Amino acid sequence: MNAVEITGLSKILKGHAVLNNINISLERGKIHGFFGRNGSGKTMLFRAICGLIKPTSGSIYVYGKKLGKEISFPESLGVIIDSVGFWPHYTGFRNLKFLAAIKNIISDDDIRNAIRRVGLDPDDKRAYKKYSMGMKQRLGIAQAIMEKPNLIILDEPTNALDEEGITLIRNILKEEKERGATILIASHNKEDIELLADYKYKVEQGRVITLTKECDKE
Amino acid sequence: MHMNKYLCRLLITSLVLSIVFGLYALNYAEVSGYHNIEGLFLLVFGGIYRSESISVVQLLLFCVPQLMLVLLLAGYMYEDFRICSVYVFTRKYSRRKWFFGKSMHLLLYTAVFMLIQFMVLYLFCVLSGLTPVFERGLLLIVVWEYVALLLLNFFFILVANLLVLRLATNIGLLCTYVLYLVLCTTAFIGASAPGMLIAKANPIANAMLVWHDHDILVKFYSDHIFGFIEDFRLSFSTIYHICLDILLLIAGLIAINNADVINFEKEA
Repeated sequence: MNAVEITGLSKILKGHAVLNNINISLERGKIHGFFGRNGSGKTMLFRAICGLIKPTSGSIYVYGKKLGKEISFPESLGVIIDSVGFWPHYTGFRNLKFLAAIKNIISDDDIRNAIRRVGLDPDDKRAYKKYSMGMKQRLGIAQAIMEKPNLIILDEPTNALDEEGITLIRNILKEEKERGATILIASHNKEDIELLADYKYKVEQGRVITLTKECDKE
Repeated sequence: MHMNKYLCRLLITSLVLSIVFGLYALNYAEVSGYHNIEGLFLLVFGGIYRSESISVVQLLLFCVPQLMLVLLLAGYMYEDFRICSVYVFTRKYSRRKWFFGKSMHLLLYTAVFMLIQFMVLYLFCVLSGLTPVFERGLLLIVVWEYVALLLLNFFFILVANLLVLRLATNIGLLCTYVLYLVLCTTAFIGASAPGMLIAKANPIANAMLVWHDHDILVKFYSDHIFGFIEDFRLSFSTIYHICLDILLLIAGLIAINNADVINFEKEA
């Protein structure tokens, strides 16, 4: 079973086809890299897979379950889409604790470990609004990985990060892949795609073109 | 996480309004010689007496708490979207559960807001040495007013939240206030048979206790009113409000389930 199966996916918004008859299968346990210009449809595609938008036509199966019928969202998902957003007056730890309380499947130690993994201090007393852009991005990634999800979707994960941060995040993604997670990343940074992705896809005007398969990379 | 903030604002607003209205009501009781608890509860929560001209004070007593409550809670659901819609909505297994949960929070906040108002007024009455004329009548007045106003307020708060989710904060709130104004105005249409029919179908009219026809209650306001609406039963209005709120909840569940979460500024 593939992690994600998309068949005939289209989405029309205000008369414009933001997603146009997409048909792709994303193998589980691999890193799938998507690149394309601004407005090409990468984020919309990720939103569709997350269950955040309803397709105009077509279907999406995540780990064998149909979105919008059997499940509203992928059951085990970590995601960053668009700009990260947390409660500005609370610390990073408290923000993640609030989110973790929704599903209630991890402990405070798990949250702390996730924050440490991305290079932040879980005991940092500063409110989120005092964080730099890079720190905010790191916290977003911590939020995406803290519950050890099966599917991780990251839209521009290395945005606003310094070189050290980029290296750190890439290593984290490799570790998550080794854990068995399926990872979807969209990036303008071609190096992210080249270094990380097992499969590469180009997104253009709402369409997805598969560029490489794993055998090609080998 | 943001529940404490809302609760604080509600408590403070409710207290302030209660004290102001309570003082006015006591003063009115002294001036009019209307010295009983039933009368004060009818004055503050019973609605606007039907007459040739509408009392501005009664209008304020009835409308201001509702409008304040809507203002305080209109953005409650939107706040989740604004801050971290993606993170919250990819953790909740069901959008309908999320919406229903938030709606129940709103109902709870409304209940607390109303409870404080009722308790403060009752306290004012007791401290002023007022007594009930007829305990069964007082119980009926207090319980029915509480339930009716709770359901009416919940209706407008839910409307506001849905409109804010759909249209953004300022426009959603404005649309809610316009709807309130239209319903408030149409509730007062004439004393003719068609006018009364319109009143009976109006949610605001259905929350005005002093417009209702009831054997025990009419004697408390028969001296004051131009006329209650004949055959306008409390049971009808209670069922009306319950059905209206349930229908709105169902509409909200359907809307939220089919909505697109595009970005936090454009809401669902």
